[in-house]
Amino acid sequence: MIAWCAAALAAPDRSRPPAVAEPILLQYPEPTVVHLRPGVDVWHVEVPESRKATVQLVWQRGAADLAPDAPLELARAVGALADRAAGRWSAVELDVWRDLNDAELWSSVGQHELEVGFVAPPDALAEAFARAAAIVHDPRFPITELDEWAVDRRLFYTSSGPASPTAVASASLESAWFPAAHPYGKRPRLAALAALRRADLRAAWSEWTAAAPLVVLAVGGPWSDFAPHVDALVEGVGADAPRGGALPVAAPAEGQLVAIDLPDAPQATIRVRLAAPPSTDPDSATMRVANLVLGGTFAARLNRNLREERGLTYGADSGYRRDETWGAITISVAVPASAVGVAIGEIRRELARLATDPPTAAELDAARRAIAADWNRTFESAPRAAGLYRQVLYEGRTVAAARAEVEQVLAVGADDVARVAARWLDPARAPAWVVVGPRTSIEAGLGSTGIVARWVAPGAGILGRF
Amino acid sequence: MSPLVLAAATTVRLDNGLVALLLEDHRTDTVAIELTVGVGSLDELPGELGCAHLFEHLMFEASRNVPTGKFDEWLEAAGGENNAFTSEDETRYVASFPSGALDRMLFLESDRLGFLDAGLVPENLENQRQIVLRERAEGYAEPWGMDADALSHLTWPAGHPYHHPTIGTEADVRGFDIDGVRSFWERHYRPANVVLSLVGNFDTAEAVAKLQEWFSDVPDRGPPVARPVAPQPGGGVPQAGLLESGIDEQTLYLSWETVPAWHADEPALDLLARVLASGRGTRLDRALYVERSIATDLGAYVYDGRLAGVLTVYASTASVGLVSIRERVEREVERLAHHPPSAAEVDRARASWRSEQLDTLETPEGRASLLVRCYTGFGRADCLGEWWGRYDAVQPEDLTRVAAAYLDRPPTTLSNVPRGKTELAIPGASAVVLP
Repeated sequence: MIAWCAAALAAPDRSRPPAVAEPILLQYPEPTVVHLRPGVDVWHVEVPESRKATVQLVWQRGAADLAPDAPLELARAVGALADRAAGRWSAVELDVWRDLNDAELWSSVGQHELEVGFVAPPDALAEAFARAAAIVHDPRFPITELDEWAVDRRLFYTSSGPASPTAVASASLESAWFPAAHPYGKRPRLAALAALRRADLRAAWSEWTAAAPLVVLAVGGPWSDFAPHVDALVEGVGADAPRGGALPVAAPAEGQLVAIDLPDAPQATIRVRLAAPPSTDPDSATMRVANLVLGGTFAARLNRNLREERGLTYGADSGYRRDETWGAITISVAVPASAVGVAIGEIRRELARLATDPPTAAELDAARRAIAADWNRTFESAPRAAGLYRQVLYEGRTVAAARAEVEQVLAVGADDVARVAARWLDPARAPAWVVVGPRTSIEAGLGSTGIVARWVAPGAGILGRF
Repeated sequence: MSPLVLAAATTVRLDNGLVALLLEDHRTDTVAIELTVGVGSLDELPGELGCAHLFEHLMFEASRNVPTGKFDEWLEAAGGENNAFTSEDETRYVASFPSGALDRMLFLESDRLGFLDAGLVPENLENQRQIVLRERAEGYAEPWGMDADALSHLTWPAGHPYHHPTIGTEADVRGFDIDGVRSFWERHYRPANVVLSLVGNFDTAEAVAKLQEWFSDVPDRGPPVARPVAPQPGGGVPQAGLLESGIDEQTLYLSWETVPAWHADEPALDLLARVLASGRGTRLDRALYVERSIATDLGAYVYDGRLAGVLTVYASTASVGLVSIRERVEREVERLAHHPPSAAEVDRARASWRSEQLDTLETPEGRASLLVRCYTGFGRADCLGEWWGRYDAVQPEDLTRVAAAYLDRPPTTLSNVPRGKTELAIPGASAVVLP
């Protein structure tokens, strides 16, 4: 129906932006926990009006919890390939099923978790459970899938990765931050990639799923939708054993600068990382706000400076990663190679300025309201809600505690941010810099870091060989 | 989730010509807004290539009552986030925010639609010019970053509205002046050339009243200017292009010109692309991967623009030359052009398309986007029943018919090969140099 609006109206008041109501933080339920047996629990959460349900089996040990000599490629292959073919279903059959049933079905591995999961509408739940159970109990790791994956990884390590400024920058930063001997710093090995065998993957999978504590997260409809299928899903897997958990990470004692020569790159790609509070530190909630003020939104300081005021970049941002034992702020930007010195200088200036020039009311509002708005969208769908419960599971706390932290964030003031920035974000405080670009253009500007550059080839950057 | 979910939408046309589509959604406190302006790179005149995209950037600079830098600051201070996209056919501005920020959002949108000219000053133009050049450089720096623009350059002959990249040519971007930008604004950014959709936690009557209030002083600057009339096929001779890059894989793109958006054959062509290369066990996946492990990546997609469309197949390999890839692709295409796929193949393709539609409907942003799509394609906000019905009606024989009609001819090709290894490319391929 089209309404023709012919009423003459007074012009609106454009003298100031309209006021905005303060956010009201929504409440979400704690999961209903069913203890199936020691080491195997089910968490159920009902999300009204969700089109689909999601079930995620989370073994609470991951790549970093394996034996120190277990190659990185083994863990990655296991996580990437378990969902390809399983039980009586080939890779083609599983993919056809996904498409026909508006479903997803996957496996994956993280530093401290191994996962099998699916998303499916209610009328496909039973079939989804059956296929997930097949992955859990009988992943086939077809040779064609393994070969394709290995070729893809090899090409990334040797060709497409070294040719990508962003891939080189990201990989190099991880290697600069985590030593090779640390479980988080395991380096890729091409020889290990070539040596992968199906039997090794199957053995690793069986051992892994049998020996780690397991939580099944079921989010969507009522428990009666899930209950008939859970026992078959978890039969013979999961163990009453210690869960993997965040490992101590010693931040680098000295600043470092890894420089990678990409002669054909039109720009310089910059990454810098500083240690930040772990999630258990009282400063962590404030750091969430500080990060958003620094570089977590479009109007944040880094983007405003480097993009809007100086036109040096398409985008500059920062991110805050945290775990129980460590945390880090990472800044990312790409600028013309000739401007790398200016960009580094401005990044250092913005880091320092957060301590001396506390956030304005608008900056605080943007940061706090972004966090509140994201929280308030949690129950938009079952998969989105599952994200909150995965976080709570991993951090070993309650939904109420997660909400309490958001309330704490909403109460953060400008002086809090300045204090935390002074403590953690001093640019002289042993940062790790990575700069990727044409050496002839960027070398002169690297002196702005105050750190002597270590030059590394692109391939070495991708593989962490420095 | 049913196609009927959009049936409750309300359509409003304001005095200044702006059309607004409103749909309540109380599942969360979020509101999504989308403004789609009927201007894209196809509307650009010689010398202003890239202006539609540059203008997208300028829409965030300043307007009469929103100083430079304040659009994003005021939006984000309200808990909102936003983005924008420019294509050949249109420019879209999207945002989502808590319901308590509706007035602020409408203030911001109406001010820049009505009074952006106050912010069209040389310093803002210069700043965004540099940012666009950085955006272009950043995109082209990545492996395969130039391929899409190179393929358009080949597929559409010089002078066709789709020939040049949406991000523009470096020369034109550097050459923009403030008078040219103002002229672009006056020609295209008229309320009558805008469709606004609003989905979320509000009361329709109250939201309509707010729209009327905030847009009441946005002047009617006349009807939309005439745009190139559809269809406008390329009609060119198939080209063979070449790019050399620093990666040890070669990629082949094969592109066939098809139909513009909303053409009767669009659903069959969409499903044909999926039957060809969307998922394990599809035709090209079997030919290039399952049976002979020579592809490291492959896919197919359709782009149906306002004036014309294409169906593109691509495959990457590290083990064979691209002639071998081309032969296998064309063999599968020829098979489909003469023998219908199975009903099961078509059902799978249709189901995956439907799944994408349902996923889009799950969020307020997705619903806002579909409302606009419906309005521009069907002239009304509620079109999903009819739109989905077109896909439901596709039969296996339709895929064979469209394969024969549009794909049973030499395609335009683009070979992306490792530097110095042009022997891996399609013979006769000429280097592509993007302006």
